[in-house]
Amino acid sequence: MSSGLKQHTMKAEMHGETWRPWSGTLDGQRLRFGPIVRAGLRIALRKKLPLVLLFLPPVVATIIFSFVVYTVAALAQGMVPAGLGAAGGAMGQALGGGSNSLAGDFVKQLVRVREMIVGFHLSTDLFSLLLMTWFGAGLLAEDRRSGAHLLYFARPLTRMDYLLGKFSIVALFGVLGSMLPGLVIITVAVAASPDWSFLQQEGSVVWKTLLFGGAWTIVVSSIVLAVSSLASRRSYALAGVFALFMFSGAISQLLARLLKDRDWLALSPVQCGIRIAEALFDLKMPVRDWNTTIAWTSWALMVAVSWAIIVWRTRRLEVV
Amino acid sequence: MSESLVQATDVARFYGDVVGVCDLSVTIPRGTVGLLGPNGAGKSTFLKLLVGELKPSRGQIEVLGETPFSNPRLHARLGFCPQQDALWDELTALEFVEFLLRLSGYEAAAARRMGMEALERVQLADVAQRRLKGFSKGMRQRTRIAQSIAHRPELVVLDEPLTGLDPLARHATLELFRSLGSDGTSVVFSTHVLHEVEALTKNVVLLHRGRLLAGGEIAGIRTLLDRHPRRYTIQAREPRLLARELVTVDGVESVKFSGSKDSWLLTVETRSPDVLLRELPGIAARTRAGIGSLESRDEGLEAVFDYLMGGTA
Amino acid sequence: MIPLHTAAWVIASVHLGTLVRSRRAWACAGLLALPSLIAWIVASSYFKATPSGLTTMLGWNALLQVSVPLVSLLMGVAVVAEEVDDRTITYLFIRPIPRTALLYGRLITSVLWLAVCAAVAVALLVAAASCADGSDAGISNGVRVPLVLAACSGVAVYTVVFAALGVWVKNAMIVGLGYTFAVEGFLSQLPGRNQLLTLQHHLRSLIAGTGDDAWQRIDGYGTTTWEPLGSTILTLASIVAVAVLLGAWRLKRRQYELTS
Repeated sequence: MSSGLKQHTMKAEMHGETWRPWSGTLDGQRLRFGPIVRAGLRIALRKKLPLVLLFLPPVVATIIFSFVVYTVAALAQGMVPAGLGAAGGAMGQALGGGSNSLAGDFVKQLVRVREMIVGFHLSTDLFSLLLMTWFGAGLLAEDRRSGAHLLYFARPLTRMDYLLGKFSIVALFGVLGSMLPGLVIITVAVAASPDWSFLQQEGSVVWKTLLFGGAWTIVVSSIVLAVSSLASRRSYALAGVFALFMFSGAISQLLARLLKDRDWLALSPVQCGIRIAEALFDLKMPVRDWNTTIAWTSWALMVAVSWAIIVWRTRRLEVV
Repeated sequence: MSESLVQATDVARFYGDVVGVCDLSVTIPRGTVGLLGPNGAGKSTFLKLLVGELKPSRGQIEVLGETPFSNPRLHARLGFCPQQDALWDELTALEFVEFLLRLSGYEAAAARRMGMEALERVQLADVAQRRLKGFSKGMRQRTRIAQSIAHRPELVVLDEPLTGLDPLARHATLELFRSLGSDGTSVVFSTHVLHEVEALTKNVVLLHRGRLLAGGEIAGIRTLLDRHPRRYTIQAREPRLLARELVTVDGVESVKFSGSKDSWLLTVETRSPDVLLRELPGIAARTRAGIGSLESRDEGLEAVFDYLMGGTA
Repeated sequence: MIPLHTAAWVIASVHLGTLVRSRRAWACAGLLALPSLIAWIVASSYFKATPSGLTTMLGWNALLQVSVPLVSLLMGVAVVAEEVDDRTITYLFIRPIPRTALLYGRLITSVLWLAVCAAVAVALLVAAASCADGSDAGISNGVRVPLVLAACSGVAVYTVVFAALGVWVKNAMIVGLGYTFAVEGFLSQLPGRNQLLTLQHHLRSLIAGTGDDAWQRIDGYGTTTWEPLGSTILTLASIVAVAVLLGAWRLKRRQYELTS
């Protein structure tokens, strides 16, 4: 029976090589890693319980701190925030007196607000560490385990696109956990101060918050991805990251105590963060005073080593 | 020895809200039986219930007269080749099979010997000392088959054993199943490849959406499908003459023309195939229509499968 | 049916072969040896460090408190969970062996490996600390023996507990991390006898019950009420027995829904 179909002849070819790198011109589209980030976030946001457990503490802390900051700023101006009633009135009286003394107290209160913001930073950094570890530990490990990297590199993606995409996912959670709450508190402080005087007097805290939050995010994200690239599955990567931070903290403190040299604290990313925050935000903590340059150098080295590990472990990811 | 291999009564298995199998009652006799169904039909779930990897959420299942779940006594008589591609990659093929044979109760020397025999049966004897990490998909599949038959079980259960095998390996594996059957071993296997099931066995169990669609001999199932008339394809030189006579035969429901001017085909649908086949020679002689060929593809498994799936779509 | 001890032995012997070739096992060995590296750095740099002081401080704070729970978690959770994750547990459950043979066989190997590594780690720690220049009576058996005892007992107890956790709970690694570094850390800071609820306290009581005065230099050692040796051994043995029984009970009944 004739099918009536036209038979097309395929040209016979044979290929000696079994793998060829992709060659051609990529579309001028920027942010090729965008879809990786979007997909990663969609997957991360699917499970609600970890989101609630990990985001709830910083959200609650932000709300509480915002109220405290607002109250301190308001009281410094002799105003009684709504809801404080008689207690607020008494505090206002205590702060009252001559206009000069009020102005002097007010400046002190703004400094106090700044210190509170820094303290808040250091405590939310723990949650941002948990966030980045939870959502970032499996990014490279599980891709390799499930063979998903083969699907990624069947697309016109370079290795850098892939790594940037993964890095952006982790960093986004870091920003949400560390930078954003700090900026919220600063906004409250600015709004609560008359004529935005907080911004005039302590305005540097804004760029310092961005700088510190950004640096902390970069360091932790890099470490998390490096451990993920070394691990064969997500649970090992999680344990590895926690082990790294626990060990480095314990060892750095032990060495600092035994050798009576606080520069050894530079072995711990968390201790470096504390030192850098204190120096950046002008907090005087003589008990923990050690060389800030070493802390910055240590962070830079950690990022460099992490990325060296990541690049080494993913060097043949495109090859089956 | 009882005739019944598997006895399932109102078996159901749920994964949360998802139905694996439901209201499944089937008796599978000894011998070779094919388990068929589209993706998500519940084949793997049913096989896991058979070997005791899962327990039914409801109902009862008995294999060789015993409840399979957590039953080491029954497991000595069973062999299972799972669908998932999971092996201990650091072991060699022989170490892998030997380890499982030792867990079946064989001493090290006997396990080694039997392991090699099993690997020979699946054409992996020459790579027995190679690590499983370096095996291709087909080789890994054959290794899994080897471990399921190495301890000479009474019943071998295989979940999609032909997946990943090249045509030669598929042929060899089917031959292996035939030889197992002729040795008296019962084989229950699931597959999508209908013609390979037909080549191996007449007994099938069809599942769809977790339920039993049909079970038994293919021809018997076909007979039961009385709502689908039988279809015959006739190639003839004078198709119109033939068609005029055919429509008068009892039971004939339709006659369709297809093909081209030089080679017409008639497709006849009838509910009484025996009447048609009895009348056809006389019609051919009277009309001198010049019948070239007479074909029916309706008896096969594919037709049964299509009819049953189409009826439940 | 194959007897439990035979099946466990077969599983243990094969698992030992794969274990010594795994990165995880050597990573655990490295983590246990880390305190000895610190000891060597300190001994080389700090002329006032004393060998016994270094050994007790690092043994107490680094080895026992961080390394031992961490490596036990990494190995313990994987006893059953690794077979489930790799989907190879099917092969073991379809053999004529008691299901608990899987737990016992792999547990024996994991504990054995960690105990050997812990003993070697203590030996390395002692060797590194001995390089310190500071003068004291040296590292006595009252320091070495309790430390080996506590480290080996620690890996055994923690591994068994985490193995049982791995049978019961899906995300055992996370639960284990939370227990080790949050719950135990929190409870140990609480006043009163809340420390009795932690494994660390009992392991330290082993040291207190068998160690000499060299341990008195540890912060908080003198002010803590330690458990008597007999009671400590009984408690740890009971914990191991209960954990094993609970794990075995659950494993016999549990169904694993493995995806393809």
